[in-house]
Amino acid sequence: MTVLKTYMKLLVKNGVSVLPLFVIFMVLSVLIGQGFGSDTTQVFQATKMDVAISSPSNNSQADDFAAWLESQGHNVTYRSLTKAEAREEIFLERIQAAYLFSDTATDAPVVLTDQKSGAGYYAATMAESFFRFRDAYRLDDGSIDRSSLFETLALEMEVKIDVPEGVDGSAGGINSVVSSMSGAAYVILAISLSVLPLINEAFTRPGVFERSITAPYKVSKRVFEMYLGSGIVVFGAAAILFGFSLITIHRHVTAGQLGRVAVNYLAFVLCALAISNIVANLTRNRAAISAISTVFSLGLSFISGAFVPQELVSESVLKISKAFPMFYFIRANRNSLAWEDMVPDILSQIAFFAVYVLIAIVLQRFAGRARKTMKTATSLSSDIGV
Amino acid sequence: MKRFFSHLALNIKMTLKDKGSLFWSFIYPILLLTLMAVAFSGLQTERKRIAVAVEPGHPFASVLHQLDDILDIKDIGGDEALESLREKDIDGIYRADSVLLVRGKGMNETILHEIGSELKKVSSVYATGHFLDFTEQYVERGDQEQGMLYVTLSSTLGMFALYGYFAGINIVHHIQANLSPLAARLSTTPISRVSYVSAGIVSGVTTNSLNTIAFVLYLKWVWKVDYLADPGRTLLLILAASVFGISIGLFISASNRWPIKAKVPLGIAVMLLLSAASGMMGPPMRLFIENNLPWLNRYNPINMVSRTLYRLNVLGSTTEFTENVLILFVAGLVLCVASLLFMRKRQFKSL
Repeated sequence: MTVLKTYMKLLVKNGVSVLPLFVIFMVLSVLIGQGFGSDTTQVFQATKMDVAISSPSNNSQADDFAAWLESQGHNVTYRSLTKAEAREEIFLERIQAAYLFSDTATDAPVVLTDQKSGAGYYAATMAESFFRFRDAYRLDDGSIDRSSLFETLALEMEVKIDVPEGVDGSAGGINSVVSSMSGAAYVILAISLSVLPLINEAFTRPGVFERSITAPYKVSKRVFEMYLGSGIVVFGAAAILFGFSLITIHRHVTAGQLGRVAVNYLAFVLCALAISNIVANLTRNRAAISAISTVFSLGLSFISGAFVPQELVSESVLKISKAFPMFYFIRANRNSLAWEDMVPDILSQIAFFAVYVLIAIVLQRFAGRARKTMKTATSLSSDIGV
Repeated sequence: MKRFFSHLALNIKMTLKDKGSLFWSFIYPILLLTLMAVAFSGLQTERKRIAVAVEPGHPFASVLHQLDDILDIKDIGGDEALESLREKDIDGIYRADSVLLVRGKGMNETILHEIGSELKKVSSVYATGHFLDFTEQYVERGDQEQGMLYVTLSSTLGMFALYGYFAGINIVHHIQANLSPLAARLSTTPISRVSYVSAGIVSGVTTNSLNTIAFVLYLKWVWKVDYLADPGRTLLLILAASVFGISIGLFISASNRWPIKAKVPLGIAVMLLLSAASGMMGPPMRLFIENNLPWLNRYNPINMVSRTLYRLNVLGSTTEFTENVLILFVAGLVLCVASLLFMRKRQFKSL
């Protein structure tokens, strides 16, 4: 177990640069998971919004609208806001929409919101239809028939949530599972891509390399112990990350769903391990390793929908992300309510793992040959004192 | 002065020759900005229509078909529609029995519910003999650019504006004898430390500011995302951020003996964490920080830069601009002075 011991010693030696990175990424992973709340009830409730109403006093139009919004469960605050102030409040995400009423009753109120978002569309159409209905119940003397108006506004379409048979867990908890596990996936990819190639690089340094190939140590044993070392690092980090993710998800998942998520995570960790072996065989330049790990892990997470829901990522970009296992990992977590929905995505990841292992082996053979030729031709004999 | 310019030229030459710093300060930002712009640019151009199935025989089927600006109607029903819903191809089914079947409780489901409810209300209004005026516009729609692209890109730019950190680290590792062999050799030469460090700061601030300006121009010309609506103030902000970035690099590098291989990844990771808190990894995380750790984002330099950048160029507001620029300049100055104290001439027993 000499190689394994050396591997662990090199890990400890690199601890100065690895440990702070690990701690920071852990925090990042927890924060990504905490960013999404969840509701596990199976009864439909319309999304509630935080809105601000700015109106001069005694504006019956604004009062009626505010009363109706509150009756619908929206969080309404009354403040005197200019357009600029309202934009600032929306920018700070303290509110999602602002309704600005003018002093003149005949002027239409202004709805400030991001019209390209679903919430923006909802906020604007909600106001538009309220005032249209209110106008319909205007009596001959100009007053509003409020009882009829609110009776009509109370009418709602019946909504049911589809709960397929064999589903274990609640759809409301999925957001929490997906975001936590996506954060963990990003971090495990970043850690394994940076740590493993760095340790492997240390084994190829002059001196260590020559001693390794001249030592009476079986090549297969050396390779096995190297893989064992990298496995311990990646699976150890993965286990810690999974523990951190449990802080966020344990309230939202059943034991069965947790098991399925764990299996999916295991498949992804195998892929991360295989990718880092490819990188380790591609380059031995420390700066290049840092660059590849940062760009690849962050880039892949962005295009696969690890930080934002996959629906928000462009279709064309999602097509590219299908060439990498992270897409399937995230999609499997989204389908983690039923085992049969997850299986195809888990199998896809295992297929990726097999392909990556194959590539790593081929690269390893080429890299080994190149190194052997180079070293024997130039430095080996003098290095070992022959 | 001649010596200063010679050191300045030397610093710029070394920066341009260093492939690593060229990658981190220029190529990596361009790659990341491109990835983000590609991933989220679809969101800025148009709102996605909501895919929904309308079963034949639904009482409002014909009206729903007219709402093609918001709904992407699929004329399917029964098991086929149910399967599409479970496959996430559609967000809901308007069933023939007037029930809306959905998968969850998101915004799309809320909009489908709102549309269905409104149609029900409209038929009720007409049934009671009242009239609805669909020709009149009852509200004026004021748009606000609040898309994810703007939030993520401004915090990413904020992060890159502070990448002077790496130049700061390099300067100290060139001049502090106990940190690198090059510095040990330089310390035996009659080189002026003040001139070398100040030339390094000027070259670092200049190259970092120019890089950030290049990113802003790249976003404007290639991706049509304009962060130069208020060019004067934006450039001053970028300059302040570069000064702060390089100062923090000087301070962190000079205040301890950690190897450079620890300081560089630490800088990358901390900046990634701070920019994530500022919204680079999507609004939910930023909201979580704002609600639970508001002090973190108040004093998060990346958040200060990115918010001000957004306010200046998207909202046309100068709120907190002067305050933030002053904080960055003053903090940069304090850190520079503190770093110079750490870098003062010392004698080493051994190197």
